[in-house]
Amino acid sequence: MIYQLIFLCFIIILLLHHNLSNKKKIQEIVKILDDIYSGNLDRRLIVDENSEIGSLVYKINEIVIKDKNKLAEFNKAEKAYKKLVTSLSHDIRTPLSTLIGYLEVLEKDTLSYEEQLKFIQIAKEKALNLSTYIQSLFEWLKLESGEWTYDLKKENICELTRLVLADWIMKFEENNIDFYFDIPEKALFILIDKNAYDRIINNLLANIFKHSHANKLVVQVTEEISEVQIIISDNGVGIDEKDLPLIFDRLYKCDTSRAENSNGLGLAITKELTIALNGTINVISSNGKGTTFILRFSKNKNKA
Amino acid sequence: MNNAFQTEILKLKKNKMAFIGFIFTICIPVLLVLKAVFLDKMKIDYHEWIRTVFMLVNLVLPIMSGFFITQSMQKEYGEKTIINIITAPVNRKVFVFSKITVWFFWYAVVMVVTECLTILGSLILFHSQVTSSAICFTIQLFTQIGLLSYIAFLPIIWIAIRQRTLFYPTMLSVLFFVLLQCAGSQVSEELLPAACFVPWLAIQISATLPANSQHLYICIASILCSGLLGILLAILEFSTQDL
Amino acid sequence: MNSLKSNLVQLTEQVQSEFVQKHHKFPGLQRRMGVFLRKTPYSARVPQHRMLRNGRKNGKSDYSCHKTADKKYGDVKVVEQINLNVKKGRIYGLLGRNGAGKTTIMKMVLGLISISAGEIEIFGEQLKGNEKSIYTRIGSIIEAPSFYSYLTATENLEIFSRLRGTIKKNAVKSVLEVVGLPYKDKKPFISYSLGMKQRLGIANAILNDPEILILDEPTNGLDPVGIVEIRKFLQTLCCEQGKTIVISSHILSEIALLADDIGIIHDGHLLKELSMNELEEKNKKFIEVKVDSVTKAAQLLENVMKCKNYTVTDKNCIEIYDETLSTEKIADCLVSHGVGLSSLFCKRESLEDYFTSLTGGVKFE
Repeated sequence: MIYQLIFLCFIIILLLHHNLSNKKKIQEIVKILDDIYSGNLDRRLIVDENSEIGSLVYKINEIVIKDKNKLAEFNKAEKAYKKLVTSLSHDIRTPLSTLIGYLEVLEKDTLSYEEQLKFIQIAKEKALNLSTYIQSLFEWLKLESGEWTYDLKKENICELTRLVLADWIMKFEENNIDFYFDIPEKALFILIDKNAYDRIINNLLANIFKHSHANKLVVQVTEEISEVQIIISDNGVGIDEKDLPLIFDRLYKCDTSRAENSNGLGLAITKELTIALNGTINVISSNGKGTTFILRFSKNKNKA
Repeated sequence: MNNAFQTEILKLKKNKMAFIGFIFTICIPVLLVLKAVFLDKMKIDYHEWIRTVFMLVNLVLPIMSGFFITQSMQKEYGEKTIINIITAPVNRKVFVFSKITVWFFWYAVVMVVTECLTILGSLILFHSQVTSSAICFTIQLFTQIGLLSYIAFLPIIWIAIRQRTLFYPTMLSVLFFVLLQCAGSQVSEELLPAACFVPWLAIQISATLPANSQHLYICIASILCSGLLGILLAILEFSTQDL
Repeated sequence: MNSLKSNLVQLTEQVQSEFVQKHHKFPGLQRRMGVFLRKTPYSARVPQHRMLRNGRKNGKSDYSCHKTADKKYGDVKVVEQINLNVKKGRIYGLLGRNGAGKTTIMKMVLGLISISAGEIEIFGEQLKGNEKSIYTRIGSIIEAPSFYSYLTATENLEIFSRLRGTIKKNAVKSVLEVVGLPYKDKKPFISYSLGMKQRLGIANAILNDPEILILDEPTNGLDPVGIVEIRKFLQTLCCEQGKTIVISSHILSEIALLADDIGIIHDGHLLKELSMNELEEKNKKFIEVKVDSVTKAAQLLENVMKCKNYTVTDKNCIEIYDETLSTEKIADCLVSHGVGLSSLFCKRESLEDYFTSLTGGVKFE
């Protein structure tokens, strides 16, 4: 009898203890949840692995982590936006200031006719550069916002490439750049947006033209088993190894190109467009020996 | 507390010291059985055999248990895992208690297994002489001495905490305690009242005293004091220690 | 000509004011962010979270580990009256030479060593009495990653996850995946390379997705590749997960690469706290020119000094990066052409020089 009583008491005490500890745990959880509710999404609920409220707590944590990740994504975009705004304001202000400076000098009328002509020439160039910059900025914003519409059609990639290159031949000749085009005669049809493709090739060529100081340029179109490759290579200054992974980033400029008129948007736009067309873009470069850009587009017609 | 104890059990899994201590101790009755069978050719007496087992176990088990706790504490300091434990966070008191508990757990397991093997051995060797009352007596004696010895050795944990990564001071004190414990059985009649107050001497003395003796209470009280003091000092030392 | 010019001037002013305004206040941010976030389906819920964010800003955006505490070893004061302002979601670097008191500070915060005087405050809460709730929000590696040498990585983490409690199912497995260590491997910790040990240390620190990570010399003894790996990992933790990280180091270049804010410890005193941006400003090599008319100055720079490497940063401020130009030449040219020059400042101090001047001649590595 006495043993049974002791046993009973023991069980009651055990249950009471269990109950109390659970109550305490729930109080703790409520306290932490209050903190999470007030905005601290980094807070986590912690529980013993074998506890009976384990699955409940794990679920709450999952929800908090999910929310937090979304918020983090948003913050990241916000940061990128801030950075863009700052650097844009500098990028626009610098050429504008110079342009005004030239105009101010012209205003004073103390210049000779030749000088005036020269200054007007420079001012015009600046204005044109600015206009190009604003154009690419506009394109970039359109791309980022997803407002760029693609008109995917079956096109002959060889013909498209030849058309784009035709516009550049004059410029190459003026600047004494030897060029070799290796484009197959036969038609290679892939699903592509003509405007976007023009933009991609133009941007790449413009980039080479501006920064590489090359005197030789090769454009190759080759057909592989499942894809079409467009290889554009030059023998210019090349890209530094430390810059290489970053050149497709928005607003990234190598140290050497800061001085020249570049906006850091061209290659970023190229990359975005290539991805939008289900293609890939790679770059190989060695300092002083030249740079090669390789574009790959899938021939798979089912892919839209 | 529960979690801290569970992790201590997890740590035992690949702990060589715990394993060696366990094997060493349970080997005693096994080896003595073999010795009785092959060397003595059954010429010895049951009581004599039990006494030999008893003496050896009382010598080896405390040493092994001392080794066990010393190594267990020293490893925490040596590998600096103590930093990870305290920042987990584990309450410092809880940590000391979990060490004491796992020590006791190990000790109890080894003791019970040794007891079982001893009884099994005695049944094999002296089947006719062993009565149920003799078994009861053996178990009682073993358990009493074992538990008292464990309690009296608790100050070891305090020394282990104090010495951190050092192994030898703790080992030396373990050996010193064991020496005292062994000497306990040789204490003469005149010195008995004084010896009762020394916890480590009192362990063996308590086994020889009759149940209603006044000295027995003194013995148990002094052993309990030693245990309590050991725990208190260990907690005090550990909670103010810079890691 | 005149009207063209005035139009352009108007345009610059407009661009300027618009960007400055947006940069600071973000009017119409929601719409604008909508543009940038179109690809993510989350834009619809942006306003709600903005409120939360703002609410936090007003309330308690900073963690600021206030530590006004002393530590004495014997009669020697090792650390005195330290107050670190650790901002949420940033990497705080404690920089100091060996023996300056970095580890002591971290150990004090983590309750590993007692404090001789003063008190410790983290998350705006007193440490004393709240240890359990505060320490569950902190992950740490102190000195070196320390684990049971005879147990495997998984077994070690299982031990510590039992002690800490968990935040999700299979927490050990997923955290090992994060740091790139195999789950249920047979290799004991003792045979791990230093890099793997360090990773396991980090795994243990981030087991419960803590708000603050306190890491004591996390790259100590690693090879260059390992250092880069750890650095990148910590940066993603901070940037993408929004973790607050406090690291210590005695190597200036290491801290400079990683930290957003820096606290310089010397002889147990916090000499200076400053953000990396401020430091970068100090370390930038350029000539800053303040003039009354940037347009004129810009034109002169291009036309007379043949310099194209410059940026107009403000209404009357130009930064010139061309290192071939001397300050005298610039000043001479500007003044002789009638540009009002209010300040011309050459920033060429290196980080090392700056720290050496702070610590009173003691050099960093």
